[in-house]
Amino acid sequence: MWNRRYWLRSMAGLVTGTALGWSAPVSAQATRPARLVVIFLRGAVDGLSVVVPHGDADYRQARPGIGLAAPGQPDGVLPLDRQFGLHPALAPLYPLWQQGSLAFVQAVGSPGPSRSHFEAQQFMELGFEPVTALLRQRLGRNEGWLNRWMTDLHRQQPSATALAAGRSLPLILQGPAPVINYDLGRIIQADKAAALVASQNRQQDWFAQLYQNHPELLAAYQNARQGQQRVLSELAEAPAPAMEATMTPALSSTDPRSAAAAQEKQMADHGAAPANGFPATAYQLARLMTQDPGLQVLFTDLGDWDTHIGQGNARRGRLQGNLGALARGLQLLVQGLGEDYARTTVVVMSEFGRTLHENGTGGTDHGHGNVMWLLGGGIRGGSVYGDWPGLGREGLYQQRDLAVTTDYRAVLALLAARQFGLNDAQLQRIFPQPFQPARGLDRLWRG
Amino acid sequence: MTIRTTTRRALVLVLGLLGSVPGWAVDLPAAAQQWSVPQQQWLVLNRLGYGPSPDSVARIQQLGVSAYIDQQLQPQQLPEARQTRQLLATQPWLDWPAARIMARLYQTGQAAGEGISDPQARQLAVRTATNQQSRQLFMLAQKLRLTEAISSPRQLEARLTEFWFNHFNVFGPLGSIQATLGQYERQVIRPRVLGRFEDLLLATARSPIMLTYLNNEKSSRAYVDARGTAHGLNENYAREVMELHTLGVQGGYTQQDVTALAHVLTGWRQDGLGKYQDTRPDGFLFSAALHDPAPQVVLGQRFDQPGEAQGEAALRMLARHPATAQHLSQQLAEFFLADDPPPALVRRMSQRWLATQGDLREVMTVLISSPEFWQQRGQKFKTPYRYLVSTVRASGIQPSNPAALLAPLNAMGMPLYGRLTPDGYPQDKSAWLNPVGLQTRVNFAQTLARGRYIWHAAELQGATPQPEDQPDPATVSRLIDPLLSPQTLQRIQQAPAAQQMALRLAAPEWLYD
Repeated sequence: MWNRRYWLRSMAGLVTGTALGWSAPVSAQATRPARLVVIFLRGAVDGLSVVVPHGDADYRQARPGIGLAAPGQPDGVLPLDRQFGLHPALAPLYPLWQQGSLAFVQAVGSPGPSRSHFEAQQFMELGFEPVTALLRQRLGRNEGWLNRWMTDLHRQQPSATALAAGRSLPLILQGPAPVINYDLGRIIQADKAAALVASQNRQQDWFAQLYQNHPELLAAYQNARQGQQRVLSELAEAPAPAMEATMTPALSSTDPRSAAAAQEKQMADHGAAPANGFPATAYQLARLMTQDPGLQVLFTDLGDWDTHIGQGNARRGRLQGNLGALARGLQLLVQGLGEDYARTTVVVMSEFGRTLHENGTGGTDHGHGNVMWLLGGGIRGGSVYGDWPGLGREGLYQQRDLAVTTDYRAVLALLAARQFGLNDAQLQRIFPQPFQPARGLDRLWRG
Repeated sequence: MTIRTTTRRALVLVLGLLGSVPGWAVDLPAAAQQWSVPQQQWLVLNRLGYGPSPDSVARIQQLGVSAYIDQQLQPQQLPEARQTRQLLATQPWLDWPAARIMARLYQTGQAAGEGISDPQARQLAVRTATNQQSRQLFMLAQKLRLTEAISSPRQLEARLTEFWFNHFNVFGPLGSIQATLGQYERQVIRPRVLGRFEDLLLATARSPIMLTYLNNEKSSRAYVDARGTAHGLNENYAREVMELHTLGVQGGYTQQDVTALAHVLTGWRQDGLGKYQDTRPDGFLFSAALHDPAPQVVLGQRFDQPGEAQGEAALRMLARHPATAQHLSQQLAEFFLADDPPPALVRRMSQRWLATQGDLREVMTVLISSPEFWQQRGQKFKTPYRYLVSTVRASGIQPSNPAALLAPLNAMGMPLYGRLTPDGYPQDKSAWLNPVGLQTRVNFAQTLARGRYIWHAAELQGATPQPEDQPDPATVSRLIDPLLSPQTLQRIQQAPAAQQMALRLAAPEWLYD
């Protein structure tokens, strides 16, 4: 059930904070809005390979082929704390951990029993499991929790909007609040963006008239036009954020001029290995966010995490390749955001985790609990949070998978309250189904 | 459904269009009579195919609505499109059995490596040649699919092939899958779309592509091989076959059922290289050595048959299960009629399914002869694929390069054979009516109207539009205007002449069925 005391406490904190001029000291930051970036890994990333319980004998035993080694050993994980280590492919993020703005919550997930990707993703995008007719009726089929979150921000600030970076609008952002949907997977230089805006402005729009009496079509069409105009106008103005020289290789893979990129593009065009395109998307997200303070909620999704086969280990396999691309992209995002990083939180999540035991084919099957990643200026990083249930038989979910001890919504609700100042009533609207309040997350948010 | 003999068929026979093969006949319900004959024709062309084209309009006008429908339900009596035969004449691979394709692919690789002494260079040459051949076959499959949908007189078969491929979805652009994808669609799916569902299910279960995609080929009883590597169960296929292919996620199965079915299906493998004697021409191999022979209980039913028969019995049980009949009748009605189809219709289809042990032609006949089928249009927002194919058809052109049509599909979020996950693409409006998708449709309509759709495809830079790619305004108007409201027509006629064709090709009543 809702923990009213928890919410009252967080509200009290907010009021006090405002009264004391919490956000006053740095003028630039005071005018910058709070930002939430959600990155969804579709296909169930193997959380036990992200934040690795290397010290756990059960882990080593369950994964003779694909287990990762302890820190200090060849190809070992990067040390996080005494119990956990970070996948070596995520090394680009390690400085953020050391500087204290990267944290993880272990054993997170949805309490539902589903091991279906499609069902679990849908639930996690709706923000509830439509188990009762009442919930279905109240919310319809297609309104995501991130859209409801956006609704409240939009009410406070009319220029505020959400951006879904990708080729279509995912369920999580479907709903009444304004959303720009734009594919950022290819780098658009400022001059090209300016030319596109100018050419759009020249054309008379017969299509808007054609859809005049069809509200759904008209809304989609206008949204596309306006969103495109907004994104392109910002990109036309946006100076390329400074990048360390070492980061340029991360982008070269999406440069259409290189031969390797042509092949990769062909793959990506067919929907494959989308994680490879993430560095480009992340780079452009940063350009847009620094330019347009109205972009407060941002979303993108990456695929190819369903590693039933050939999951690999520290150096080989699909998982390390995808994690590497994700890490390089996150690094670009953080660098590109510059000062805006202080008011931004990045959440990386996935529909469920994977089996503790390696399967018969060098991979893992659909499991339950997972790890959630949190990056941002407000995050008290350098800690693995959450109530670790262990990997012993008695701790496992259905005696096979990592259990869920923290509801994913509890972490998100904490951000909604602490970072965005959303109140109890707003939170109940965003997540209408009762869920277990979080344990052990009190220190996660600074301030 | 009742069988009519009599005058109409006699007339058709006289016209010599059906030949002497005994026909299938569907009675139109009274609800069909609310429409004028041309309205009936356009409704049928839209619902049972990818909309009007110059050829299909001529055909339905000549045959009449009933006889046209009867023909569509017996596609083997209709020829394939001329363009299809042209494509296959130069590239016959897709009509070969899977094992032969894989063997040829292997030989192609070996031939490329011949005479290269450095093992690494040799391996690279082999891999490059194999990949290149696989990619070519994948491109051929894509062209073939689009060509069939655009030009084939077997329109219902084309739509059903889209439906059932999507139902038994595999992700195309992946290694060796690319090479047999066209074979899978043409030989495994298409010949069975109006047959018995369990035959279709079993054919997909034994296809090398499905065995690879959902990993069943690697699933085995637990054992340790000579090198000390442990092998065992992979439950991916067993879960998806119940969740997606048959019962549905609400179908009442448990984790125990999934695991039990995975055991049942151990030893169902593919042998692409023809390494084993027992490999069948379709590339399927049952390995008794890797099969777990223990009896299993699935959905409360005990399966203790020997070897492969155990899996076959379990899959047949799933195919005939009431939850499967309900789940698939619902999906068919959603695909052909409305996102939220009338429950009474779904119930009748499902009853027919159970009464005929999943005879898909019978189930389709219930759908087509139902009053609900003949209700008003506008209930279904076209998916990007359906929009694209129907729009090219209505433009009246035979695209000089169908590969150029792949790019707009990508941009609309529906790359051909590009759905990564086994659930297939969603078919409802909420998945596709979005800003990016609509903008891309408008862009596509504009370039198609100018005869320059090829420009969508960056990878075809240098390709020039051909004269035959330029649609004729009168044709577009003749094919699309019967579907437009007076208001829409008026708005189009107010626009400059140069804009009118694009406006027709993205008109509200054209975006919906």
